[in-house]
Amino acid sequence: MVVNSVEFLFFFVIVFLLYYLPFRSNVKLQNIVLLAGSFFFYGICEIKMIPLLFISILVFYFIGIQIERYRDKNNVLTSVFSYLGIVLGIGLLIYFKYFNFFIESISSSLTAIGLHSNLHTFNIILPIGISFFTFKLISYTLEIERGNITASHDIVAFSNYISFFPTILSGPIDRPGKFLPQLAKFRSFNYNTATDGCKQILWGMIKKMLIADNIALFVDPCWTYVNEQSSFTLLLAIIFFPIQLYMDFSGYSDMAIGVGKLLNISVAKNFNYPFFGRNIAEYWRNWHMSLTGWLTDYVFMPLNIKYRDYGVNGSIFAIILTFVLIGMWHGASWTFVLFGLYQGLLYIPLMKSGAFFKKKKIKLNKSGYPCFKDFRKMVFTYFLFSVGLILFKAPSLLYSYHFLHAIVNNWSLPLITVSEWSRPVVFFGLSCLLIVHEWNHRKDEYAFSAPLFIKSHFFRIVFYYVVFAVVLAFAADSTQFIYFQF
Amino acid sequence: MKKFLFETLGPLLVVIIIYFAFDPFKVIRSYSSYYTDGQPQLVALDKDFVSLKTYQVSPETKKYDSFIFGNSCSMFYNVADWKKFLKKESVPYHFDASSETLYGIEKKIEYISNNGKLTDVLIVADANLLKQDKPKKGHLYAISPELVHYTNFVPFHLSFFKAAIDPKLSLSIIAYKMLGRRIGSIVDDRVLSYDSIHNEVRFRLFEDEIKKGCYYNESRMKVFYQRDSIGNYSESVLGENQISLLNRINDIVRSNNARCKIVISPLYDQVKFNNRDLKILEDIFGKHSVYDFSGVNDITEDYHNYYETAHYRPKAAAYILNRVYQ
Repeated sequence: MVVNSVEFLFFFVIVFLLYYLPFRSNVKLQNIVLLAGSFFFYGICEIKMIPLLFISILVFYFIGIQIERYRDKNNVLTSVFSYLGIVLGIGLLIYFKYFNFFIESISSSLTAIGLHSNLHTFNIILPIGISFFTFKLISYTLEIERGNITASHDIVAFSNYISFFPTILSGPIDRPGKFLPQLAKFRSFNYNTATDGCKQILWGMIKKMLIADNIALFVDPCWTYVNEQSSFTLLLAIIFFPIQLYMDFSGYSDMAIGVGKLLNISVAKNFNYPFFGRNIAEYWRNWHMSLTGWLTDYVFMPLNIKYRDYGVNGSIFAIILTFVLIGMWHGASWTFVLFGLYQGLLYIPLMKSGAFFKKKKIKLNKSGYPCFKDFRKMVFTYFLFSVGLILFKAPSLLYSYHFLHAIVNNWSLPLITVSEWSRPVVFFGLSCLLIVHEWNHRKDEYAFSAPLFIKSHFFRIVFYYVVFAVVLAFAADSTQFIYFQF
Repeated sequence: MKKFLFETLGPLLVVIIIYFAFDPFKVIRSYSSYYTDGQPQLVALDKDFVSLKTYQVSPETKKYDSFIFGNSCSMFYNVADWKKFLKKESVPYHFDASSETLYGIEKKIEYISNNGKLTDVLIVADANLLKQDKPKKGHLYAISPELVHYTNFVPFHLSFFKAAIDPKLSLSIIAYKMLGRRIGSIVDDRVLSYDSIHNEVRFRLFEDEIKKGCYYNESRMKVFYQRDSIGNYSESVLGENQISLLNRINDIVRSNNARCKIVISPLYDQVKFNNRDLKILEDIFGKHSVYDFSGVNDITEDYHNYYETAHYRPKAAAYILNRVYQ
């Protein structure tokens, strides 16, 4: 059940009505409705993994209370429970996501040096959303240990933090310090917040259903039938993919945030107009912010402090390691490891030159758009990111090699016919216009949040329904959200 | 709150009311006939559902004992042609579905066995149909909830509601009603001949055009591609699940003492049905129950036996019936 489906609409209407109407002013009942909705939602997606989610919540609830109990009193026990939380959280990820990857890597390494191995992979089902909810569990443990938050003594509220249905499948990864206090208070209905939520959902639908799914019609076949595509077509597929990925993932994030607003719950922001980044650091600062922020706080910063004696080289090491982890977070494959490494390596010139530490404002021309120099940097950064995504998109290293090989060798193949690519190209053009629109609204929370020029309330509503109808009419056949696989 | 609910749920409620009132896919209410003879069926229906409902509401329900199962290719097996090879008192019925699956056929045979008579079974299959061991997605291919003990009731109806709220559908219907011709490919304006007793659908216009010699015109000929698959075999599609479904079909057929014939369709692509799969079918149903018309043969060689590359004509189906039953 995806957020932009009819099934979700009916599910959400029921949750919404139960959430606000029968249980007025009762925060506990409101949280119970939310939790029941979240478990139902997760169960529809992955019923077999409900016990795993439930047990994880119980264990970390207990760990959180124990850390708080011994914090400031018994450092050893505090550390024991903190490490237990971290080990269990990472252990969950390793077992479900990386175990077979490690076995395969060891086995192929042994084979490569001429040794025979009897190592076999296991049939492990990857629980949907595990990368997102384990990060929340670890974050919760670390925040209590650091004394930034107090442990939750309300199991329902804590369960809601971990399993909150709009974000459990694909994030954003909320932090307990901001999310849990919201669940302690009664959330009354707020018309402005709710309508803003609806607008953000609509904006997410435009991005996902209208843009991403239509561009996918071009990009996905290029990747499936690499050898049949001309070099030019494959280059276009590389250029189109970051837009598809952005529209897909940020579209989902907008819908999740919008659903949160309808429940009067603030969800972490995940994207902040990343295509306006003039270097890779600015780009990543605004791309999948809830993940990069998480890794900055819990991995990069501690490493940076640890290796500060080594100066810039220490920071470079910290950043490369952080990016390798970002890559690995996406999946158990060497392609993701190299994707992370590639992104990390792009930081080296920035850090060596000191540009990483300087924050310069974008220079504008008379029309209010970026000056040519900054625009050129944005395009170049986009290009660098696009190239890295070859590793992200390829199912294996060998496949990415085939893809690059085809780009070099397929110049003689005919281009795909105009009828095949006219629709995706139109939507790529439309997405460029949307990005211009985003530039004009870059100071807003999302590019559709500004009040409409239409003064009549009735016609404003009509306008939004017309946009909604256009999205439904021109949406391509729905494809799964790209980040569901992670 | 009231204002917000009025602005958001209000339009949704209106859409739901319109959907229930118009029932564009004819899945809400029961109809005595799902197609109108001599009229086009503008909105494509779920043939699986139509076949089941027509079977249930027909005055002949109790008498039906001979069934043709399969995908849209099976539509062109005339019951009149088939009846020649059945017992005099037999009443045949088309129990087909769009893009039928092996799973769907098993469910249908099971349903008939539990609710009616089964004397003769004709399964019109191909590799793609035999491969499908699970229900298909999409409103046009959804299996009727009754056939699967209502386990898919909610997703079944949601898939139709989802299809109905696509503005392209309503705009196409409105445009057709206003202009009298279709725009795009959503609305189907082909006039149907429909025999509700046997659930037999025909596009008479096609045969009329063929008789007049104007059917195979330049634009239609474009689809008849040059075949280069001569000597090619389809991949083996019968795995453990498929074999289990086939055994179940055979068990039901045997328990009803019914006669079963399986025809492997002569598809235009001329790809020969896999030998291993053919052997499995023969082992399960008996050598004299399975007839393979795939590959290069007198039917597939002549494009005049086809409307387009996916469907062969009733005259080819009649020829097959003669070969199978004589």
